[in-house]
Amino acid sequence: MATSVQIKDLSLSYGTITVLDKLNLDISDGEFIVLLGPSGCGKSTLLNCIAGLLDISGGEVHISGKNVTWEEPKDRGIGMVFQSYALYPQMTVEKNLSFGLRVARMPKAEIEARVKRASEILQIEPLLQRKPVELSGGQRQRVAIGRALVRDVDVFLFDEPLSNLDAKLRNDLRVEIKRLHARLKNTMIYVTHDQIEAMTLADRIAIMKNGVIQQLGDPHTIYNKPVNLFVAGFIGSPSMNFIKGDLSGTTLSVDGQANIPLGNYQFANQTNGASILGIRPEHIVVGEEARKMPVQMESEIEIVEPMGADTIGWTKIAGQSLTFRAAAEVHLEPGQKVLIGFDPGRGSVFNAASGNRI
Amino acid sequence: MTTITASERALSEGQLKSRANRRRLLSKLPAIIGTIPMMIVAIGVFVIGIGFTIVLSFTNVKFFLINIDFVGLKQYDILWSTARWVESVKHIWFYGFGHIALCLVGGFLLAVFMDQRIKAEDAFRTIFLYPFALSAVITGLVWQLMLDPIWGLQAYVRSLGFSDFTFAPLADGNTALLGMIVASSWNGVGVTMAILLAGLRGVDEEIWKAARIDGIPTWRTYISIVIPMMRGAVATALVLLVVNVVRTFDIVIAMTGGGPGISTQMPATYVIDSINSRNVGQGMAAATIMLLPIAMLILIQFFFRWRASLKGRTT
Amino acid sequence: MSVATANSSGVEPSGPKPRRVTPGRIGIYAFLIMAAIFFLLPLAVMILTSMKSMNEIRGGNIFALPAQPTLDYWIKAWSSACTGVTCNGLAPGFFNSVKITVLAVPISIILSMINGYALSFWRFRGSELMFGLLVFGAFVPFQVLVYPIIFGLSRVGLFGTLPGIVIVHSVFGMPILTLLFRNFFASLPAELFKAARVDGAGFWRIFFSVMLPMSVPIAIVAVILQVTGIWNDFIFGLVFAGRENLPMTVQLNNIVRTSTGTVEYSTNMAATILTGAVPLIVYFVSGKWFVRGIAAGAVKG
Repeated sequence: MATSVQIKDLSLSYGTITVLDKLNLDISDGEFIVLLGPSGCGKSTLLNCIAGLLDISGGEVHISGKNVTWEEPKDRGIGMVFQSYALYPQMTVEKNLSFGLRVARMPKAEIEARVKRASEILQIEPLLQRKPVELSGGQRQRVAIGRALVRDVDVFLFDEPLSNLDAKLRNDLRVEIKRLHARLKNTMIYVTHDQIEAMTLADRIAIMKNGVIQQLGDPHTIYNKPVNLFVAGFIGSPSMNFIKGDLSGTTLSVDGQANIPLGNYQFANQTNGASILGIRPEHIVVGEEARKMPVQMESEIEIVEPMGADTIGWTKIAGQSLTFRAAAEVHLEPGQKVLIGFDPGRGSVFNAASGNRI
Repeated sequence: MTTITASERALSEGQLKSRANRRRLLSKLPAIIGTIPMMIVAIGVFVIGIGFTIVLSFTNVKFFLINIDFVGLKQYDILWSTARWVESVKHIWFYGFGHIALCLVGGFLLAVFMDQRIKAEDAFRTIFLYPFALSAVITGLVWQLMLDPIWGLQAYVRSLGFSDFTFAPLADGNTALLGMIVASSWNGVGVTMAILLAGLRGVDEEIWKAARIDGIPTWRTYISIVIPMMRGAVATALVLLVVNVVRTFDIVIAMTGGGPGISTQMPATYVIDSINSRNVGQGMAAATIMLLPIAMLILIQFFFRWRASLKGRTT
Repeated sequence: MSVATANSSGVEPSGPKPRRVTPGRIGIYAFLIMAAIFFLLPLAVMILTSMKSMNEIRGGNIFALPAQPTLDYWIKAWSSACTGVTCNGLAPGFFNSVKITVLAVPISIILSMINGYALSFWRFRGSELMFGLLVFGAFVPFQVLVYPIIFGLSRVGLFGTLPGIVIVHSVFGMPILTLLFRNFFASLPAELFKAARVDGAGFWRIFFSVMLPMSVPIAIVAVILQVTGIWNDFIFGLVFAGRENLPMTVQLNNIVRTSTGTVEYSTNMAATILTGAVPLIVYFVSGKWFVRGIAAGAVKG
């Protein structure tokens, strides 16, 4: 597939502080890519560099095959949606949508056609004559998306667009953005710190930390084969269990109290020594099911958190705490002794020193 | 039995309620005591003082409150047939418009230029704002020197060889107010800039980003988007300027003493001079008129609040 | 230039966008520098003139550096210039201003702090009305209240005395300071106050143990506001202070008005600088605090 956005050796520094260092990223045409990471990881900075809102210190940005490194934002063929919506407060929705086009002296008929199309797609036609203060948060964000839409561009940039909305609206709008992408098939670059948004929307996720992309991959790979401890811990809720131990061959010895056989784990590059086994809570089973698992052990339930759809149990193995996700029907009580089991083949093993997957 | 307990309960509930009320009042008592000075100032000085002034404006009081005769609107008749007062009112309008326009336009230009990510912003701000730290008396005196035809700017330019150069606004009754406008604006532009700059900086940064993506030129963004968003800051600056203009007194005394002739007399000097010349009734009539612009401001504010409450939300 | 040609010859743009010095940029700085000169000129003239002899000023160039800088006029302005009948210079006025400021600043600030605290956390029936009337007072021209205050102070025998002028400054400082403190206390989390209430502290206990220590920054802003305000006052000093307590600004005006014959600008400017020195020092030392004071005072004015 053709490349839509290409970032080459992009660096950004303020004085001695380096925010982004020689970052590379290729995004294909029509791809939905999510930049995910904790606050301060440089994801919004990267987006602003792509948009041309920040002057970069090194590297190149190509959009739709054109080197736009020195171009003004308006000439890059992008539309952008902001967290605070950034609607022009004293203009009606219609004026908000058309302002950029009017300034660019586009023919009236063309402007009207574009505004009509955008408001149809986003179902904001009844709101066209209202002002932003008269709209709800969700409606404002639709208008903000509409403003990007009328520009008729190849690439859409979203800077935490749903962060100011409440949980319910956020879910609704998330689905709507997904629908929009399915319909328009534009390239979309989406910044968020919310892993659910990332998992549900992305074709590929780029997880960032300290200005560096830790892992770039489809949601399934990111979730199941995290490349390092940071990615493993950042994605998933409740987060992945980490069991510290000492690896020798295919056996992880945990504080000398327990030995976990990692026979069916596929090592990429096995290294003996201090290691960490990561197991997702939903990959741990309790009760009779556990008897089918390669690894089984007795343990005592400490805390039970019923979540409705399922139940989170807290226990300990060899002194290290462990959470597991059980079906809501499974009856659990604190103090109860249960058999738990898991398949190390579905887990991840990391070298404790480097934090990388082995 | 049951009825008695019910009434007992009712009684005790009533008692409890009154006891709770009393306790609440008791807990608020220190707050009421602590704000007694405020109440004295608000009511004792401002409300009663203004009332006193208005009442005296209907009397013929000379200085001491003896032999008071109520004379109706006579003082106002005299006031509006006194050339000096009528001139003073014209002066304050002229001076007020000049000063406010200069401060707003100058202050806004400075604020916009300061907002262009310039170097040494703090240094510029310090320079633009320091005159505000100086009193009106000092402002008046130094500009009196600057505008003095024999010593000031005129003499300087003439010494450069332009021997016909004339710039002596204070010497001529027709232009003296202009000189005063320059001096007072030198003092007031910086504050206006500071308020407007705070307003500019208060605009959401993402609005600027959105405008850049939309390809709106900077000047167009200021005019079509940012300035309409700054209504609050402009209103604040305007109110401050109006209040200061109505009060104008110190700078007149320091710069011109009201002259040449009566060409720079102001309502405030009229009031003080009336009191000094033992014509308090007349002075109070003038003072009451000075309340009108402030009353207007407050009415305008109430109007906007009322309109906002009609809309059901504040914008 | 070289970058521009490189670009047009087809070299790929890479790295930071080349910054060209645009005419617009030059215009911005030109405007700001011209404005800065306009603002600085009077200060320069003040200082230069105060160090020149009258003969030199007669030369006609107010911007020229003094040929023989002298501080004689400063000394004269300070100790021997005539203010009407007496010829003791500005010194008595300086000490009067110090007395007035030292007394009026703490009184007005403490009263206003209590007001702001009570208005934020201890609202009672009518407290908002009181506050509204007080703020209204901030807008009323002083001249409207001059005579009633003369009358009131005379009745209690304080007209033309030091306590009298201190009271007047405290009264007229109260609206803006109360507003300042009210906005500050309103910005504190209400939980702080509730927690102290649950701990059993009352009005004064919460004020002294919790609020007072937290309001140091805003109190500094208030001090700056009041010191410069009271020091720069002219009309109150003129009307209420009485002959014995005339503040420096009034004395300054008297020196200027007293000069007979040719105006002795050297002495006048020396006196002007001496009078302006205190607020100027406060301004240059406090810098950002001063700006914050203006902003805080103006926000809801």
